Amino acid sequence: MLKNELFSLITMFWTRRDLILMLSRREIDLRYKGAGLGIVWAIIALLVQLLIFTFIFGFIFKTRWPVEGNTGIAGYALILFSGLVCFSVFSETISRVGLSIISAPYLVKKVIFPVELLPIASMNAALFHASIGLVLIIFALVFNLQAPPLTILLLPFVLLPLFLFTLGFAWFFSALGVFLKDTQFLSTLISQLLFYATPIIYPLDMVPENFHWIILLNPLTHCVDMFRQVVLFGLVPNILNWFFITLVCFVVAMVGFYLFSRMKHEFADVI
Amino acid sequence: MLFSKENSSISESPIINLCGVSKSYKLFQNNRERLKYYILRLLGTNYGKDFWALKEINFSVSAGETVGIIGVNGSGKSTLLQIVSGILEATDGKVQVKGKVVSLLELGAGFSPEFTGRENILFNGAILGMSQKEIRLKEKEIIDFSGIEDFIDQPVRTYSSGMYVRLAFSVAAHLDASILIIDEALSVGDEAFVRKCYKRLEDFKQEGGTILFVSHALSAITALSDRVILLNKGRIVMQDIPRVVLNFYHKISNSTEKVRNDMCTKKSLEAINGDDTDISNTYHEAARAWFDKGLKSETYTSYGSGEVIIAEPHFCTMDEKKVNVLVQGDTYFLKYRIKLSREYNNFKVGMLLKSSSGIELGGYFSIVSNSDNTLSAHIKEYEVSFKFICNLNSGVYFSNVGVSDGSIDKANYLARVVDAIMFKVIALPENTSTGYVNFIQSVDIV
Repeated sequence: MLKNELFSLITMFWTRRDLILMLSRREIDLRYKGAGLGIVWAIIALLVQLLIFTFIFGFIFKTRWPVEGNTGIAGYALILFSGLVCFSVFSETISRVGLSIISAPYLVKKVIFPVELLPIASMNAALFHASIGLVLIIFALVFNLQAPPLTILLLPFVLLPLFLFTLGFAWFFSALGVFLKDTQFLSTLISQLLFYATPIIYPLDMVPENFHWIILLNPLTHCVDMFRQVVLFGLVPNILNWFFITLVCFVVAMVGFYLFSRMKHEFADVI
Repeated sequence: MLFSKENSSISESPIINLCGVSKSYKLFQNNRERLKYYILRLLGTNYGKDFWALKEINFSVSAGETVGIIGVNGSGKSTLLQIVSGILEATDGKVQVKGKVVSLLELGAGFSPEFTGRENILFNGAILGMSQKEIRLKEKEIIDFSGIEDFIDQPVRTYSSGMYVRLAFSVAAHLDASILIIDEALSVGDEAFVRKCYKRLEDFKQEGGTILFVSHALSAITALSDRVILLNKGRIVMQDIPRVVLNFYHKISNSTEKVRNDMCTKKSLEAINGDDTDISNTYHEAARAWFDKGLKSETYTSYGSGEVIIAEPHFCTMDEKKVNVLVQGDTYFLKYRIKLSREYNNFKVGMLLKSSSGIELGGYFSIVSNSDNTLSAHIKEYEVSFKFICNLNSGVYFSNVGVSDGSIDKANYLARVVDAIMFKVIALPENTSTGYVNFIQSVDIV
């Protein structure tokens, strides 16, 4: 059963790409529809966040990230910001996905519609916001008189495990959200735990050695790490490491999808 | 082309086939019960009350056939359509559907109010399975059909409900399909557009398309369907040509739940026992006046000074049999008894027949007075009976009865019962008169 579902899912990515694109666009549009400045708000919010980080950590705390390479005054702020941008793909998706299916009763009850696309659209919307953040990072680098590293071209590969990991959770929580209102609380909690279990606001080196394994067991640690490597430091991630992380994230995605497939037959009964 | 067919070959093999299909839902008091059910189910135990929305449904539809589904509210019609559409999964049984299905279960429900009509066409089309390219190609045609091109770039929240439906139907009408599944979708919108929609359906049918639809508009059922399925409490009661099923449906549709269920059970047993009523038999049965216990006025309102009491308003046949289902063209009595608590010099007794929407169709009053010697002072109880020919057409009607004092100019009711009797009239199948009343005895064309 799962094999067929998986096959149809993969073909659907292609055959219904129009629909995925449209759902994603709509998800983004819906958030800004009616606001005069529209999408500009997303840019402003991220820009202000970056500026505040730069000011607080660059001028007030004068924090330095213990890494190779000099990123100047904006160093810590940029490292922090890039970590947040990367993590936001996961956290923003998870925070919205619990309602993604239950808030579209028409698609569940009135038409034959591949509901598994809805969490994908949620992720794409989060990805869109993250890409605004990415553009700001590149601007900040240029502003800092640094050429963005060429390794940035590796980004699609680096993001692949992040997508898979996010989708796995997104499928699971979106399906669970149909049956239980409690999902929203559970997903927020898990998102929060994962945030602190990922070296975003602190470097891994600051974590006591005997807790390293917890942090390293978290796939998001590696996703964020690789993201920083290619975007900020111009480093090529270890290919074996990448392969292994991707495999783990693929398993997460498959488990999420399997659970989703098990539950989706009853969506229409419950909504 | 609208609803253009993928494959126009008409074959005799069933295109839709349902075999022993049942559908149950779990009913829970609250969310904690629900959570308990899920946890217990993971452990392999069943918990919670089952509600069977559909039970043992067997039917098949051949390509090119149009099948109407009727039944009172809650009989499982919509669930059945959802199962055939593939939206719901049957709990039991087998569902086979061959061909591309387009289901119009709720027109316009998928629209986003903040987006313009044009954006919604794109989005709705994509949801219903069209590619961007296809929609772009048909966009103009869709807008033309909807007839709202002036508003197409306005957000749909500014649309009237009629415009909403116009747009939604237009999108759906431009999909390729070999099977159309429609749930009461066409009952909204202005009449001109409804007509336009039905025209499309007729065209689709003409081209060999298969239609499965639910409607409360019985005229639409009669006009479109080749066959009608009657559902009650999730079971098929009967399936036959529209006239036969509708005749039976008329009988049960206004009955109380218990009477309806009894009649339906009896009917479906007849079918199982092969004691299938043929058409003439059904008419014969339908054309006999009888008393339906389920047919009871729920708006019976009696008022007056209390000095006069009206009792037992009812209809009866010439041979004094109490009835409330009358046959058109036959003669009946409307009878009631009055009790007077004091003497009157004169008073009036009256009756009035009304449509179920309250339109007064015809009334009559009669003066009873001392001077005519129709009233003797010592008698305090009378039986009033109005003899009349029932010229009403098929439908449900109500009757008022009343007693007023003798003053000529205005009615001063001594006692009155509004909606005293609810009754039904059955017309003979050959009757073709329209409206409420049949005035015509014969037509000659020379």
